[in-house]
Amino acid sequence: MTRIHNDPGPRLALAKPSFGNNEAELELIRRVSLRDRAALRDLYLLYHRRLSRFLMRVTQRQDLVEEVINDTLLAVWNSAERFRGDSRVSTWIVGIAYRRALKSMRRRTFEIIALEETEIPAGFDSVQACETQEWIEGALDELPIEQRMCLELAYVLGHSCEEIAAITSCSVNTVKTRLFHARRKLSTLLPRLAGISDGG
Amino acid sequence: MADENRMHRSSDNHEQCWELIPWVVNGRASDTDERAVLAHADSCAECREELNRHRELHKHMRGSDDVIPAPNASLQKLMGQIEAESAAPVVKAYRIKRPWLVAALWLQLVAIATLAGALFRSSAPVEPAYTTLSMPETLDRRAAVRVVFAPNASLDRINQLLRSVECDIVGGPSEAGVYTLSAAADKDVQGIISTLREQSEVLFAERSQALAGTPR
Repeated sequence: MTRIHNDPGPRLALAKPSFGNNEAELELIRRVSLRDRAALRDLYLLYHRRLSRFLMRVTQRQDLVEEVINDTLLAVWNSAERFRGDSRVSTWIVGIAYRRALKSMRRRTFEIIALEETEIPAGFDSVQACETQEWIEGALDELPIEQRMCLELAYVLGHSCEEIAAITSCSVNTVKTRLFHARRKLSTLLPRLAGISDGG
Repeated sequence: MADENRMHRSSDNHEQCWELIPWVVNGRASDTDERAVLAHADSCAECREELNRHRELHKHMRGSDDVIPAPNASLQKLMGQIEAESAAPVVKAYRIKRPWLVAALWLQLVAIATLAGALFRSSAPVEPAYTTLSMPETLDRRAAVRVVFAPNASLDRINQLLRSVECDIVGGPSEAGVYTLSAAADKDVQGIISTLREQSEVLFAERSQALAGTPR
């Protein structure tokens, strides 16, 4: 399939609403802006799991995950009074986490380079389930960080295209372009993945 | 023509469906879009393959939460950090975040002070450069008397007067016609001045500045 991806592309019908209760989260943010520590604790527990899953996948470092989550919630604590509710609370908080993670990862580029490279096996028939995981992770590691982040935000946190654009502070078209290139590369790196559910 | 339009619509539909696949997979596509993509994937091998690939990818990436540690320890750490910040607000307020900016401001301040000093020096009032009629152009140590002769005084008469008081012209005439005369050291300057003042050819005679304040 040939496709030049510099036009807006197909329209996206209004996306289904995001998971989570934005009204309840807005109330928590309002309380946090009044320096209510119990509200911050509730918000922390609400976001710890989903941010951990997302950050662990992109950083692969537990210490970094905890550092970014705490930095993010500290930023929420310090700037809750400035949150105007223009976006969903989850978009705002994940946006902060995204920027902190990106900054932290760029600071530690030398460590990432030092990580052992994962070989992507040519055949699939003989590999076991755990090897499939490695295979997929190896392919994802091949993607530029911005493209990978878009995919992670969509699949791990379940964000819509518009939400990802807000989180990453770029246009919807940029998100579409990043995903387009990520998918083209993955279709080359994971040619047989499409057949796994059919029995491989 | 109808076939071409149908093909064009089909191509558009394929591209739209291909692009919507991630949002169908993560559940964020609208019901209408999801139905359209699934219907198209039934008849399009490429989209069906892509849909399957991304369903697998999604399943893998969502994974399990088994490895996520309990948040208690890091939550306590965050609360401790907030406590520490609220306990020392003044320190935080005065912490210098950009030392290079402070250095630049100091440098700017020094530069401004230097320029202001230079400007002040260049605009400071200087002594006015003017002369009075009675002021000698240059102070001559030999000068004893300053004298102005009448315009109609002849040269012979002036020489005669100078010989009578035993003085020599050592300066002048100035712009105002003032001559400076020297006298021998043992001469009475005041006497010379009195003699000169008695002559009709002399309009003005006085003690020279070089001798002013030196009584003789």
